[in-house]
Amino acid sequence: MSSLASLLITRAVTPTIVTASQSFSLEWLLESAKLWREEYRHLKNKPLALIYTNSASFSVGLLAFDGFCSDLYLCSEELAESIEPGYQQLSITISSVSEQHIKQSKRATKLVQASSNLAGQTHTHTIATRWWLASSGTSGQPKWFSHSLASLTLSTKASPALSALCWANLYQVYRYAGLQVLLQALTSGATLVDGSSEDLILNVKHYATARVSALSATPSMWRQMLMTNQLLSLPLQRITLGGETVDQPLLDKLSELYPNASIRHIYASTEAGVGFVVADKLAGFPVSWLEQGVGSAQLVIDESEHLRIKPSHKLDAQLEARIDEKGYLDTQDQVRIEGGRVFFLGRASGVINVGGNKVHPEKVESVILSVAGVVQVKVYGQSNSVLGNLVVADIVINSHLDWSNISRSVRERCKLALQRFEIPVKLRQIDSLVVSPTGKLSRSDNV
Amino acid sequence: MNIEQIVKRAMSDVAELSDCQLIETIEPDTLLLQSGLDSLGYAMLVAQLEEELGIDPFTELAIKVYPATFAEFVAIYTQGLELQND
Repeated sequence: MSSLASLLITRAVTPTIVTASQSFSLEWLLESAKLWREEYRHLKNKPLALIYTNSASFSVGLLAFDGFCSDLYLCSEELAESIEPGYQQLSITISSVSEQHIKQSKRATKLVQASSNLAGQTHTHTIATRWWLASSGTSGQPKWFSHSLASLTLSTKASPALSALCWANLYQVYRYAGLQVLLQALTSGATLVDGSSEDLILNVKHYATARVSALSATPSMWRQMLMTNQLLSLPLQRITLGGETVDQPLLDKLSELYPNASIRHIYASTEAGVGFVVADKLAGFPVSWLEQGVGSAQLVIDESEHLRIKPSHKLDAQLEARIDEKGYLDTQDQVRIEGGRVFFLGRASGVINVGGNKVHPEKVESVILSVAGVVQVKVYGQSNSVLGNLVVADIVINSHLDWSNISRSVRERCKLALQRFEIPVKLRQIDSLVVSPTGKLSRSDNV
Repeated sequence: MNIEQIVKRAMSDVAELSDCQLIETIEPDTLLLQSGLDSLGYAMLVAQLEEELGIDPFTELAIKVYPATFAEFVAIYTQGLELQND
């Protein structure tokens, strides 16, 4: 049984996390983790909600409490509100290096000696911590799925070439995609540039100064970075896309700009804790993977044209209803085979992916239905070349009422009750909606 | 209205709908990401222009340069419409 700290020591990797003004070595992170663990030693075998502040602090928390606490809930401040109130919540903000009086060293030999104390502790007392990651549920409320360090680091590798990379993370680190980037950087001994702002131009400038050579982002973010005109200032060797369906024009544009970079798109299911990588610069994935599997996972397409996955690790018990007798999980992703490739079409549930943000149509529909005069509504995604999809609503109103008044009220209500990306960009008045015999809206015509 | 005017009008429509504040004057060399529209605003702009002009040049494979400035954005639509009329 291995903890994150002992995994890094065993691999003899020396990752570094850098901010605009500071650099945190693994030695420093481990020493700092030890202090936090000592201070919170009463949390042994107890659950902990770890609240993200920045990558260096979050890494200290993971190094301190993986293998020590029974459960680690990876949270933002907002997500922490959905955690069992009795659980300890911890938000770590590490202080500056100078105050800690910890000597930094980049030499692996020194590091192993310096960390032997912590490594010894982790080897003798390590427990298998469950890592909990949130996924947005159908009502918009977070749903928590448990993972293990082993499953989360399954696809991570270490090599001299990988340790020379400098990563930046545009994802939220407490979500599956962002955690993958953090764990990849840490376990391969790479450098990770901490800190991203809302301003993409500033981020790209910051990354250029830091000589970022590996970047993971959604296709929508990549399109926006292309619009900054400064993307080429990054010496990119590794380009990763994930979180949304990847299209061929974007892959072509990136490979034209960076002909020598490895360009990889990642398919990941947070619930299943499975990801696979497509590295041939073509959209979709090869149909042969349905026969051979990919990595340690097996893939099939069921009669509803949903992709099913069977990972080598055990799936979260909450998913039981979606696992068939052969152990394959229904990912709810609709796929189509065309020309030797398997392409993703969208979510069978109708969930709309707006630039990597999931929108549940039912949630938006319930807000619109709360407006007086609205009789029926159907919310769906309309494909968009900038963000993948945009949210659109077809609305039926009482025939004697005025559409302009009602549509104004709908917009106002949506602004109050929904996040910006959830608000329909277009409201269409229609005469009637197709309803199935069970009384449900038919979503299939928009999938 | 020429294409530049159509794009500017669509930008102000979209800014209002998407709760964005456009900068006062948009010049040809204004950077798109500094015009006041965010990514959602741009997505809506491209959708609205597709309705008005009948093209979405971003779905075409042939984009040589991703637009960074307002003038480049307008040029892509001008070029797209010319190609359509050929």
